Amino acid sequence: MIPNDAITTNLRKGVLEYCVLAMIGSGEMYGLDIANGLQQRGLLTSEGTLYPLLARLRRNGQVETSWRESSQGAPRRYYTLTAGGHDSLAVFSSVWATFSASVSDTLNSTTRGQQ
Amino acid sequence: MKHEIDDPQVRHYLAALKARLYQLPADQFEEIVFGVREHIADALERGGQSVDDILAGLGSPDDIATGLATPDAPGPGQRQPIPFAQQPTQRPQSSILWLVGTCILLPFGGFVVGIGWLLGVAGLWMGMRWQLWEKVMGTILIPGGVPAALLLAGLPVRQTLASSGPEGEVIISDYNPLGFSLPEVSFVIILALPILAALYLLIVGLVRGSRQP
Repeated sequence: MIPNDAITTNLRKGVLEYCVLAMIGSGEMYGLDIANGLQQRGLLTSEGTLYPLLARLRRNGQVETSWRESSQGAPRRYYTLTAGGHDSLAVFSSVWATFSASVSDTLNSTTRGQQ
Repeated sequence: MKHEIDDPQVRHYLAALKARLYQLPADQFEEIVFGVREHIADALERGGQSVDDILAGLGSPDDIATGLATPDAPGPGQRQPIPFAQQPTQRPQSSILWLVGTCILLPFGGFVVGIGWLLGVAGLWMGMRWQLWEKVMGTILIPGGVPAALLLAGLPVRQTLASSGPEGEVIISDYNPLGFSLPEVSFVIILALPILAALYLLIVGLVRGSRQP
């Protein structure tokens, strides 16, 4: 029996970067909000792992950063999606819809067969 | 943009993180450390969480370093890498011109009224493509660059003294201002050292540049 945690971890690995893109795609965000949002959804266990991922997404041209004064103090670095990031997200959304439907369909048919 | 956090626990955490990320290219290293430091500063500013809670939420430095294991291959619809733009930490050393200029000025800048070498040292220390030990090495191994090496070896660089003798004739003599001359092998080593060090800095800078945005 594979533990639940191992299944979740493996699934999370494949989709995390697209979830980050999706969060940023809904409007510019800064690191802490992205990290908190992902953690609250159970998609990120260690918030610190977000930063290597954000750095990689920026290097790959999927997100870009800008600086803005914050009302509370020091300027913050905000992340926004580039055109390439939007494209990636759109492709993933399409693939995910088909993929998750196929998995659900398979699981349901197997479950029905067992009953 | 630095977020100064005067907390020994945070300083210890960041030091441990830096140690885990030490092998990364300088710009990548800075970007990740900056992100984590900013996260901590923002969380503290927001309030409601202790330093312990914030650090626990971040995970261990090892966890963060594990996040680097993800492949770098571009996904569908991605563009080519873009520069690390619009960040205050961005400096002109991202350009090849800066890199090459620094690596030329270090060994040969001394020929430019002596200050060229100082400009090279400034370029080296402001650069983000080099690790701290490389900057120290570049400064120590190339003090003054090739001109200083020539001066030290006392061979081709000589000053001419001219004076009038008792009969009114002009006496011209060469002398080594340091008063000694090193054996030829030492001369070659001393001369080659700044050039080799600059060459090394150029190569690692170019290699890291090709991996950075």
